[in-house]
Amino acid sequence: MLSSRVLVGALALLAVACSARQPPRLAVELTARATAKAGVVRLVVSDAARAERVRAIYEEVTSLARELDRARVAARAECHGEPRKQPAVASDPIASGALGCSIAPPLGARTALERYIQLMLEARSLLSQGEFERLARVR
Amino acid sequence: MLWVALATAIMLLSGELSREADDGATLARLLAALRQSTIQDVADAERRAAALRALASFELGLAAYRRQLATFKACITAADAKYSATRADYDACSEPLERERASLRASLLSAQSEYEAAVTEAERTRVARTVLALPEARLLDPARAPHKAPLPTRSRAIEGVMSERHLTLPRNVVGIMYGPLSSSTFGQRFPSRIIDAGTTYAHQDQSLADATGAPANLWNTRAGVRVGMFDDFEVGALFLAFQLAPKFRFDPVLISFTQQFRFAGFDLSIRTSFQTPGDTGWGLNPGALLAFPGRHLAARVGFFVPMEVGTLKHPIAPMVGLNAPLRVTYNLVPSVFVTAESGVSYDQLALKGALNVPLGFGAGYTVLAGSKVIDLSASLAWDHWLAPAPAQGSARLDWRAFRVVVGASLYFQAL
Repeated sequence: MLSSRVLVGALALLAVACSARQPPRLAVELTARATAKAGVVRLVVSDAARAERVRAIYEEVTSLARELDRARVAARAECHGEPRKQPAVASDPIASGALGCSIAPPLGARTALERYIQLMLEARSLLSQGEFERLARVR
Repeated sequence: MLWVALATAIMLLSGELSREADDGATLARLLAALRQSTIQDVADAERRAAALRALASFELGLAAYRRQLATFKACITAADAKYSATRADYDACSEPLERERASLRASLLSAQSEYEAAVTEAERTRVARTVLALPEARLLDPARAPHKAPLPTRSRAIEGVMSERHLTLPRNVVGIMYGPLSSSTFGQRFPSRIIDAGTTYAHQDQSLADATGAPANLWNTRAGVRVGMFDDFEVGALFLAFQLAPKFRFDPVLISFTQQFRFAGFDLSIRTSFQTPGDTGWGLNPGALLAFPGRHLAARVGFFVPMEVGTLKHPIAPMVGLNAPLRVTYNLVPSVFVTAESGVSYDQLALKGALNVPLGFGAGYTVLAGSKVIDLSASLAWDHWLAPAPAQGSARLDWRAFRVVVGASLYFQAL
């Protein structure tokens, strides 16, 4: 009985380890980090007003991550509006420039990144080093 | 481990992991298809070699793009983790990215020209037709891109403060249950036993024990797992269930499935639980729960129809009951909570006078330990506290039979 459970566990671990998991997008990573902290911030920050603001900051990061995603899609769409567009993507992905532009899309999302930096710096101003480090350990 | 694997499998099946991934893998598949098609469709060896060299530049470009992104993400992650980080630390992440991206674009334009020079228009058309037929080509053409589903509205993080928690765990969150007062054991009152996670001591005086046939002092311990499989769907199992005293034995396993519907200010959920066969065979406990989470105060109420139905080998007359528990939770501070419980229960509808009003109190301390949240909790309950209309005599309060449960539950993100 025990050996079969161990076997199932080992197979499960192997399946997870071998799954071809692709690296997540930046927006996904930022969201994961921020939401993980938002859920537990009240357990770390004893002062209610500071805790509320820090939580609001992490929640805003989640919406910023959506903006980052939108900017990423918009940057790809920009690829199709470039001067070297002819012929259209539908007839030639290389000559249309779509492939090259998709590999190295223009950097959008500057506003969202700028806001992200502001929020992260504000969070530091509200948290003590100990509180910050406890939250950093969450994710 | 098995639950983590199961959650991963469900995320893979539902496309969750690939939805979250960057576009690099898709672009790599497109480039592989371009290479294959170029080998097949470009007849002249010299031109074919030149075209493949150009494609190799695209492949190198893609590798560089992925490297840039990985470096940028690692840089942001490092800055996020540093208390003393300043704007300069963040700027140091984005500045090289801008420079490298510009240089990459220039090299890709050059590769594009080389490819166009090497391949005739007719060959290009054939290659394009093959490549654009692939589903991955949707990435290159916004008109064909699938409309993305809106992002889930429920955070996938561990919910820290007890009174703010919903009825199900968020997706990707796993709970190791070995303590009372969790949602998944709320209302798990079957006709012949009450199930809670943790170590339980149930006492009744000898006269009651003689009347009910149950031991006067009973020790059990139960532990298991809950997993948020989807945003509002949870599976749980108390599979390490033992009776410790008066005699050691394995107890039935309790498995539950809960689907939650979240509304503004309250949650409604439907839960089906079943027990593997014990003395009274299979147990079922379908029902519904209503919860009102709050910043300090939370309430939840349930309505269940527990039953024990025997087994095919040992059929019994089904024992069916009704149970409507109520629990109020108050967070004194974010990490400390107390609970009060009551409700009504009719353990066996076939028995006259089996209506009971239970009473219970609980307390707990929630602590953040690294990336995990731990609830240390305890409860004290009189499961047959008030019998408003007993079969014999008049309404009575009974303080003699009580149940104490202690334990700790741990929550973490699976992936």
